[in-house]
Amino acid sequence: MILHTVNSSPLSTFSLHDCLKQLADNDILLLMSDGVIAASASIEQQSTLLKLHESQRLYVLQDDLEARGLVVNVGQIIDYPAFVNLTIQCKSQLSW
Amino acid sequence: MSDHQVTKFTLLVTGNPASHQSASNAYQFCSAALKAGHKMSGVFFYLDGVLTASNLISPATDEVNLPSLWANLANEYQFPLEVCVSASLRRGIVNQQEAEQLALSNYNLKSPFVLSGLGQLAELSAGCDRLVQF
Repeated sequence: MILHTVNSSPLSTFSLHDCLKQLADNDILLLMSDGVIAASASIEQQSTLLKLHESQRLYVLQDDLEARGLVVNVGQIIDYPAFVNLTIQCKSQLSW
Repeated sequence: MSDHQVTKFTLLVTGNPASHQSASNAYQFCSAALKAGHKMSGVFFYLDGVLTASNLISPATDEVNLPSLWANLANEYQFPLEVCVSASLRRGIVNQQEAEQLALSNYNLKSPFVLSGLGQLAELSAGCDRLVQF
């Protein structure tokens, strides 16, 4: 089980696009920094993100979301202590 | 989940502290992990992340000073702040020894940051439970 962290906007890089292609069945995705935009904007990958959310594998970092004044369409909002626990729960982490 | 188990972390920081948010994300993660009772094997600064180790960084007083925050956290919890030496020399981050060897007039490595190499990153990652990259 890998924790994938995406920290750039899907509107400016292909990181989310590439990450979703590599995501295995039980991997978890955390959106942080400008990556949180993916949880809020209408984007091409929205249906994939919704599926991840339904299987409780999509998380959004609270501070970064609030710093940008955004609200989520999909994804569970978490704080730093929960982020720390996610890295422990997953065997390794991959930063995109 | 892991509330009672102590995990040993190594963090890899590659973002410029003045322009990239990942530098701040890393600090906040580190702080949260230590407050939860976990251990830091070390934090390794690489690429533009090495700029965090300059003692000349002086942001406005109402702004966050990441180099000082890292130094305080490392002193409080006693973990090493390792800085890639080749990435540092390329960006003008120099300690006294390197300055003497290279006949430079000044040095600016902030304490307790130390210059080290990628071998040290390999050792840190081999000796920890989780490596997290920012």
